[in-house]
Amino acid sequence: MATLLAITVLLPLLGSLVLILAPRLDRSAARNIALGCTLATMAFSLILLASFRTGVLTPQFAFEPQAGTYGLRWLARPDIRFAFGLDGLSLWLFLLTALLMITAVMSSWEAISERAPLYYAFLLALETGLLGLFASLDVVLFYIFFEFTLIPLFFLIGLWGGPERQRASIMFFLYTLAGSLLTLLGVIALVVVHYRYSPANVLTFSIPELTRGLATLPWPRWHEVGSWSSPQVLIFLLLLAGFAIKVPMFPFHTWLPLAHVEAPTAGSIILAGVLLKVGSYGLLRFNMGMTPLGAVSLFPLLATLAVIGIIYGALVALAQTDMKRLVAYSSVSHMGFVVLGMFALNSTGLDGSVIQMVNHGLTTGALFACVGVLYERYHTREMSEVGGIWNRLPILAFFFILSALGSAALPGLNGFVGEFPILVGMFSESRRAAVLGGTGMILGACYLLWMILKVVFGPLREPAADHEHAGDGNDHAAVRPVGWHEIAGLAPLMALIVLIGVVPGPFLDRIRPSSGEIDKNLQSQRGSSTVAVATTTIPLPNITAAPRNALKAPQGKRR
Amino acid sequence: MSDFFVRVSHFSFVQNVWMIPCLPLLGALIAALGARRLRSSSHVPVVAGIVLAFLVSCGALFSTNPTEAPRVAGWLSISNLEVPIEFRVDGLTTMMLSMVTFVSSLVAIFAVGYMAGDPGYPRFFALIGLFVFSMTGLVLSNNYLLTYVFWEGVGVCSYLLIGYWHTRPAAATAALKAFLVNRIGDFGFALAIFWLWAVVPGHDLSYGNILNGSTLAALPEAAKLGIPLLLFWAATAKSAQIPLYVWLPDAMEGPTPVSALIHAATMVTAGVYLIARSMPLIALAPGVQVLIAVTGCATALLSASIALTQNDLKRVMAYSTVSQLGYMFMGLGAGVSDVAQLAVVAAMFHLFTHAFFKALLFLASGSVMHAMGDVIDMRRFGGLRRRLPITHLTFAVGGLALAGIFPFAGFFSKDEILLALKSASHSAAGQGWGWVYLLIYWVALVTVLMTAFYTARAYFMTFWGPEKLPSPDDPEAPRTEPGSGHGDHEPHGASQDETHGHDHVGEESPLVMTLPLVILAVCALLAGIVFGPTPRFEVLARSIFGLTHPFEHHLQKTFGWELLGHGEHGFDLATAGISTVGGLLGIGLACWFYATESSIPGWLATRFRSLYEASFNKFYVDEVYDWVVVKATWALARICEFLDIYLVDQLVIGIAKLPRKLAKDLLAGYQNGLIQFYAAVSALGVAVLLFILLLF
Repeated sequence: MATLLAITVLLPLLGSLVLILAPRLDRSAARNIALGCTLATMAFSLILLASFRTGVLTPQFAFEPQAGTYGLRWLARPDIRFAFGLDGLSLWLFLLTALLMITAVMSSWEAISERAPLYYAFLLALETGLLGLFASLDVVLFYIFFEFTLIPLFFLIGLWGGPERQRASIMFFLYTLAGSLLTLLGVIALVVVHYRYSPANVLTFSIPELTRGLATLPWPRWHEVGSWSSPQVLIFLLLLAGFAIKVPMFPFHTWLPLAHVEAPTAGSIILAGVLLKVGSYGLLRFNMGMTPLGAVSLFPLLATLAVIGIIYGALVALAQTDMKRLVAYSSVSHMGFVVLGMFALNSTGLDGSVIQMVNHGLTTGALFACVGVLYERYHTREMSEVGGIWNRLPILAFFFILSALGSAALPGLNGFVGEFPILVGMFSESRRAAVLGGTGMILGACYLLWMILKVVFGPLREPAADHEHAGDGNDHAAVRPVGWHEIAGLAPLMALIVLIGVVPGPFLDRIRPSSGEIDKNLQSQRGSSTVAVATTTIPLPNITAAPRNALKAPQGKRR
Repeated sequence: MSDFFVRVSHFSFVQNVWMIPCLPLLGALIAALGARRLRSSSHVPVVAGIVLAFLVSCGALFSTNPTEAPRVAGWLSISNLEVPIEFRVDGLTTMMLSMVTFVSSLVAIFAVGYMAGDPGYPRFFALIGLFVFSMTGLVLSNNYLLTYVFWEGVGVCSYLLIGYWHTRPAAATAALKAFLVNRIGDFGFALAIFWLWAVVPGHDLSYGNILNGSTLAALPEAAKLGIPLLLFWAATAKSAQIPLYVWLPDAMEGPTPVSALIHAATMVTAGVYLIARSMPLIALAPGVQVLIAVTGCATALLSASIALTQNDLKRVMAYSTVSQLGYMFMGLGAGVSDVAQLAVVAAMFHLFTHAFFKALLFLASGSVMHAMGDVIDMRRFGGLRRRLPITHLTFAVGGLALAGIFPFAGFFSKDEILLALKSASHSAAGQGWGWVYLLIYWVALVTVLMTAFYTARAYFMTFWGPEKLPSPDDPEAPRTEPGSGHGDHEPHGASQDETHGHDHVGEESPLVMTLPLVILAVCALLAGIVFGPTPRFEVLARSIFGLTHPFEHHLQKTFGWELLGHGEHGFDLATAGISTVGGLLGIGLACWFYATESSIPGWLATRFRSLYEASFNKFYVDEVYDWVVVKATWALARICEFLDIYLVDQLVIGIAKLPRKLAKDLLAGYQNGLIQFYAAVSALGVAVLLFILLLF
């Protein structure tokens, strides 16, 4: 099973290499290879899901090669390891990636005609990057994948994007890179602190070991209540820099609408569906998991930013006329819920937050795919130009309404299962934040159903026929009905939107032990941080004074 | 065969109550998935499902057990938030279930005729099935959160059914408005649930855990006031009370059976149900109860006065529904101290009878509309009593029930509410609220007169006077028929108005439509006297039916209501007398004004011009909301967008430009290409590094 996990992660990369190296592939061959690859990855992921044991805390299918195995000696150094595994936090995001990649390939089916092999190669490389990221059990490996995902997406936006694609891709690249360098510092700091202060002076880069080890350190004694320069708060902030931009949290969100508008449909699906989760997954894994004291100290700030993000994102979404920009801003709002759930600092909010990541991936991915279907036919995303498509494209209308309702957190659909516990959890922590964040539920319905009203309801409005694309010039009889590949890409998402809403049990059960562990950590730090007030005389650790070999190792592994 | 009966007699209705929501759902699924194959017989699975659900409900009615809450399945189970699917089969629930499934069955049958030939026929029935599923689930659930789930479920069915004719802009906008206004109410409900979750023991949101004496006594003071207030906020949206009633009149853009079922008989009573269900909790806050009663009273008066001048038959009925819901809230609000149970039973009884006569009035209006080729403006037709004899008679029965004339159903239930208000004015006197209830009592009596007047006005305008059928040349006819789809490419858009074909204009509706009318008319006639909780006619009722106020006895088997003050049955001839006189007076006036051509309404309209215009324009509430809420939100959205582009984004770009500026002005000079310079700098660097290493 462990090998299967590694194979699943690397399979798309293999496909990507095939696509690049094989001579003279035409479009249909390229997309068939890409589809085969994503389907195989999905099939393997499903096997992994089927053998995933519920209620187990430790990472499963742990692929941790010892020295000498696979002849990959360099990978098996005692400190940095090529280690994979899945636990409750990563399992569903791993599967979400595998699933949305199929949707991404399907939505590129007709849309991409130029340099198709290269396009699909980048898409598959991106898949390996994301799968690897969620499966990594090693902080360096995590970071490598974290940065690696930028490259294929940079090219996907820059080469196949809209008119302003270059500005968008550069802004996206630089913005996220700037943040993630600070995150790297934070990660190094964690490893160093663990090495320097753990009783046995172990140098480890393993995520589970670090999480466990760091929790045993006497952080509360080094901690000064209310201080921003307490060590864990500092590390928390460093880690936050990269993740907050990826999520994106207000006010670091401005790269997102531009990147979305310019990206090809598949790029938007992956960007909103999975890449934003990288940020929230990092927050959960590192900020909440390894620096819980920082989370407890900074929770008022972060909860405030999350609430602002929810309301502000929703209001800006309401003012949009471009469907893609609208959905992009809705992501700012909905990811605000994910962050809010974490900073509820209790298990109800955390669980909601984890499942909400998956939910947002499904609904937003579906919404972008729907917009993509429309764009392919009418070459516009302006809501004033397209409307009343119900009778023209009835299946699309159904998908559109269902995903909008799911996104608006209608009970019985998936969004509710995430947002409601988040707000419940937040209410017991801070009533004000929950009430203000809750208005996001009203505003969410406003902009989503406003879009539905404009696009799906009403008399049919279509832009004047585009002579290049429509067959007979002046009539829209040429508007292609929704094709099999579009249905095949969207139908699984729709099924899951309903399934998670109706039967959330199996999804939540597999999350529970891992999120419970984070919660336990949080609560114990919380209890001790209040005790620590009196003991501020103990000297703070000096991070810069860490041994040199500890600092060298991670830098040596950077690309 | 005998084996079959044994099995039936051992069939535990309480344990199998899950069938009630599931059968219509199954029907809906069959109708939706088999839409292609079933086409014009799509109604069969749905109607069958609902009728079967009604039969099971009847069984459940006689095996009511308030203490048992069978668990059907698990649902949401997240840390500290456990929500199983549990159904409680007590008096209140079974009453609601039987009413909902009964009215739904009749409306669904009516719709078979009404919707025949519509291109969205399968979708219509699938949604109706889904609605009945949600509504029965709502009243069955034993958990606030599960109630909330179905609460939103009925909301979304309503949204999709109001927007059923999706190409009509008016319908689409009305659907959006309904959903959003309801979302505002849902938000209040959600907050109430958050709060409950935070304060009740074990974070258990089930009714069994919350509505018992010890939990209620242990609630913090703020929660005792706040939670009832939030629940009432939720109820104002779904049950269309001030300030959130504005969506209901617009909801009439949906097909008429939908208006009858969802926007008159069932869904809009969900708010009343929620308050009644939570009565032990609400009763902790007498101040909130006064607020409920005052809101109900103001709503009843306001909407009745709007209904006086409307010309759209369905809108009159819609405002009438809002007004009658106001009565129910008056009843609920009157449930103070020792008369609590009496008042709640009165409110629920009005809910029960109202479902019959209002569904009847809507369906009869639908029948008129069907015969008039989808024209609903009362100025464009008249004198239809000969052409539509069954519709005419059944409408008259419904109208008399609404006006509260003895012995029709509305008389009994409305009287109960008035009586409860009067008792409350005595009971609440100790707390200083007595005069409020007395005032509400008198306003409610005035509203009785107005109710009778607008009902009779609609009746006389439609069925009396010289016979007149709509023609396109009417001055009131809209320039273009709404949704007739001129100039769009829609395959069936143009035929939508013709779906109820102009070929049968002016003819009585077919049996499949008139039969439900007749059945409902019988109910509107008898429901009051048979089920009435009034002891006044006890002797009469017992001698005829062998029953005495079974409704009240049944409702007493409701979970948690034993905590409410029982109250003594009063008998107040004065109240009954005044309301009857008021009702007759209203009908008489309307008869004088509208039964024959008369110049009086016109004269009154010009004499009291400002009042007339205010009423005709619905007191400009929609316009005010448009400015205060809608436009303000849009403006805020625009401001945020502006800020996003010109502040947040520019800030980021500015920071991004900083390094380049820094590099150009500060560092570019060092890249001078002189090897000697580079070597010198390198040496210097090494020196500095060494120095640092030595130092530490």
